[in-house]
Amino acid sequence: MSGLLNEVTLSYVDRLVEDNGRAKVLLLDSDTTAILSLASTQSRLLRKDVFLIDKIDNYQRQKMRHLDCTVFVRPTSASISSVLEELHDPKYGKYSLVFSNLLRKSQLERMAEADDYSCVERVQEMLLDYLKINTDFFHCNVPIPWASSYQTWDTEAFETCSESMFAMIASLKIGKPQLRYDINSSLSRQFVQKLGQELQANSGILPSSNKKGQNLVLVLDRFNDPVTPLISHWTYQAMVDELLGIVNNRVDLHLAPDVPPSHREIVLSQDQDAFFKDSMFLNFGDLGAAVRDYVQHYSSKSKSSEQLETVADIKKFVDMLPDFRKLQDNTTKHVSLVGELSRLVSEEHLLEVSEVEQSLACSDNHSSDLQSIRKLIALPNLSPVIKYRVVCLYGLRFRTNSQFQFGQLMQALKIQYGDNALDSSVHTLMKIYSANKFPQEDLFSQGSLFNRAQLGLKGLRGVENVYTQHKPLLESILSLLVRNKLPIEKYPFTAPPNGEQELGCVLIFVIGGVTFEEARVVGEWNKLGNTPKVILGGTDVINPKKFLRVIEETNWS
Amino acid sequence: MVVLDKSEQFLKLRCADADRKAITRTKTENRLVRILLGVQKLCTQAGYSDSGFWGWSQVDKIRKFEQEVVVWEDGTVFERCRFCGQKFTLFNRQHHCRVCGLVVCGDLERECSLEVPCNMLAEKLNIPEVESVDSVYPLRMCTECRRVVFSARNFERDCRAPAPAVLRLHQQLKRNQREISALMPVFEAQLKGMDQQKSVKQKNGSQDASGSLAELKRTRHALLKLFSNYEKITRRVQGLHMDTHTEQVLKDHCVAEASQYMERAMAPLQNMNMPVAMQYNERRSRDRDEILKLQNQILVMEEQQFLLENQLMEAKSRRHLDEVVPLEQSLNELSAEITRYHDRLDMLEQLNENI
Ligand SMILES: [Zn+2]
Ligand SMILES: [Zn+2]
Repeated sequence: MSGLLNEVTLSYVDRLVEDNGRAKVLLLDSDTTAILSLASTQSRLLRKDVFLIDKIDNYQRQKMRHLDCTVFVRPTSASISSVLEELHDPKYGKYSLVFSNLLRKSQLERMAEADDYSCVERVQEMLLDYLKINTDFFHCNVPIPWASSYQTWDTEAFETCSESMFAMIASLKIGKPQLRYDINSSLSRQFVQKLGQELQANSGILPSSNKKGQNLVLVLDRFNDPVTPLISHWTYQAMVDELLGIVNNRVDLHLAPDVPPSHREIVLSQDQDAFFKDSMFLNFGDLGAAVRDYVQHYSSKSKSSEQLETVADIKKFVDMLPDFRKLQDNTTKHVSLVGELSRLVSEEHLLEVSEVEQSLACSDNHSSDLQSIRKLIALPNLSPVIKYRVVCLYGLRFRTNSQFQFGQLMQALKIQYGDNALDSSVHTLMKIYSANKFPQEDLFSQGSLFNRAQLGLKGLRGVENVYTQHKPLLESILSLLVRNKLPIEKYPFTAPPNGEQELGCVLIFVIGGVTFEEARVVGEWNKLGNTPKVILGGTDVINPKKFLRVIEETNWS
Repeated sequence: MVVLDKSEQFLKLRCADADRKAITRTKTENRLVRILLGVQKLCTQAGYSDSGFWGWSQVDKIRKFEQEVVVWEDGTVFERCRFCGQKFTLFNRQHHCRVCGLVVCGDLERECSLEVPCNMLAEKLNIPEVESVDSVYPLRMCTECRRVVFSARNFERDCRAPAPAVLRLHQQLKRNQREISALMPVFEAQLKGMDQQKSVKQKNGSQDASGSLAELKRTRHALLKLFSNYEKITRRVQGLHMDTHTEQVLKDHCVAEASQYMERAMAPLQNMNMPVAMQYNERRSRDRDEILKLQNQILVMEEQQFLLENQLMEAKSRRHLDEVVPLEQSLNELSAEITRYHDRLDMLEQLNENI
């Protein structure tokens, strides 16, 4: 597969720091720290003689005026202030100022005015303003897009996301793409309108499309598919995120028992780890076998170098030592990780939980589901977030059922845990979906939300089993979209589509957060070498825990 | 990828601003020069330039002169210091900056204003007009005036000062790298040329190709010398003493990149099929062939030795003790082997010279 975002972000990183052979310091803000940690590695920066990396707002930095400095920040008012502060009393000799998005003219003027020492040599706008997770998956690092209701944007989030999407569209070189949105989501409509304006206003700097066919941006709303972020998924990357949490492609294993100290924090990156690249979408069963093969591969290599008797042996050993060490390191990493996942699967009763979730999502067994849920609630060591999640799914699924027992189940949880954040987020979610507040035409008639999700891309995945019946709504949307059958009434264009039918590149953006399960759908589609190329993004990456927490933290009126 | 260059626009904006700032700076500087010269004159007239003691009448004279140069701001309207916002009290008294005449506090910690001896100011100014100023009479200057007059001078002085050792050595490393990357393609081309020559010669019967062989040898030797020099500089960086944590990090990263460079740059050298080129005149002189082979092997082994040493150093610094022992053992064996090869080589070379 051609590196979509990988290629783009790497070429940005190569442009960021000048290759002039001089020792450098790199100053970042918290946004660009995340952006860069996903786009590059430290050794890549070392190659360009970046020997120090620091935060722009750390004013305790040591003065070293023989060093060159590259500043890479998001043009937010806070970061611009920090740049002004730095220029007022420059700690280094020469400066390159690079911004991750377009600067306002007033910002440029203020910085020019502050540059008393004429130490700035280069000022650039480099449209790298998104967090690249996989080569076809990104997010904007905006956890809460909503203001007071699910129908209104938070002003700052709105700006950040549209700027980020503008940067994405520009760096993909897809010209001025067509825009589609979800008719039921005012958030998505507002967003494409804003995006359309931005594209129009800055059309001068948009590189023309180098791809054949029509390019498209499709904006979706998380609330159109609340089920995917509420259930357990069984593919590697998604599981790691749900059970351990992935932050900027890093996993914290401090709390895991039986993990060697060197792997307390590990990096899971598609472009730095070949094994992960191949296994990130494997489901848990296949993953075990893959890791076993990987270990065997390693030990066969290690055996051949065990006997270092002759000089020739040593030479051979030394030759492959760096690779060997990397391999050893990576093997240990995945063994630790998969071991910890297995431990958590049994500790959290995830097989039982998943079975109930899948039944709720994909079939119609009210009484038996109710029974299973009661059993789960009664488990003393099952974490509360899982219990609330399952009850929430039940609430969404059976709210029109005459035997609806949601209140009772919630009461049972309240007895166990008292008033708590999870309780209120589940109630908030239920409120959003009750009384037709969320204007989905057939979302809840006869559980169509759930049935619809089953019309997934048939044959995209191999083995189906009881734990992977549910397919995200995105899968069916994608399947319709690529066959040019996505209904225009439901997903209208902002401007009438032109004659071109063939799709070149599709950028899907989910407001309210996107899941690794959905990234898998897109990743597998691209892996097959299909056209159009699809890139998936969202305001943030979410999993069940995060979804409920974000609902809780939003100030719904 | 979209990268938009704003440098030109930025420089234009800065230029427009620079004129305005230059005027302010010149004005302030001129006032300071006038005051310095005036104070110096008054001190010389009174007959004590650097005694450090001034009579009341003398101080009064100087004050009057200072206020002729710049009008002092009326202090009664100010409750707080304009820079730090501290309230003026009996103990935190108002002061006037002698250069701009504005009211500021004299808090020694905040340095809103400082008294600096005239001769020090003159020395810092470093212009011919004030060369003769040697009075130590203290002149009060506010932080803004000090910044306007001196900060650009300080900045330039810092930048012009000799770079710290770690950065000087880093520049040497970079020079060395450039030489290596210039020589490497030459070496590769010569090696390829040898191979081609060999196949031609084989068709036409054997002929002497010692000329190009000697060339190849020289290039290889030069390369090896560059590498060993690079490694020496790296060790010097490694051995530098650093005062602060930041400097230590800087040094560590410099060393890390240097050893990674060695690994990258030497890789093609290791992969090159030296023997093919070297075995070429086997029939002509078995001895000479063995010499070349030995040299080649020694070359490879010395490279390995260097790699091993690096690995060992790294393992030691990371305290991977389980790796240290086998690495040390390997290194010893390799060194012994290299010595053995060298002995054999010396012997063969002596023999050949005699022939
Ligand atoms: Zn003050
Ligand atoms: Zn002043």
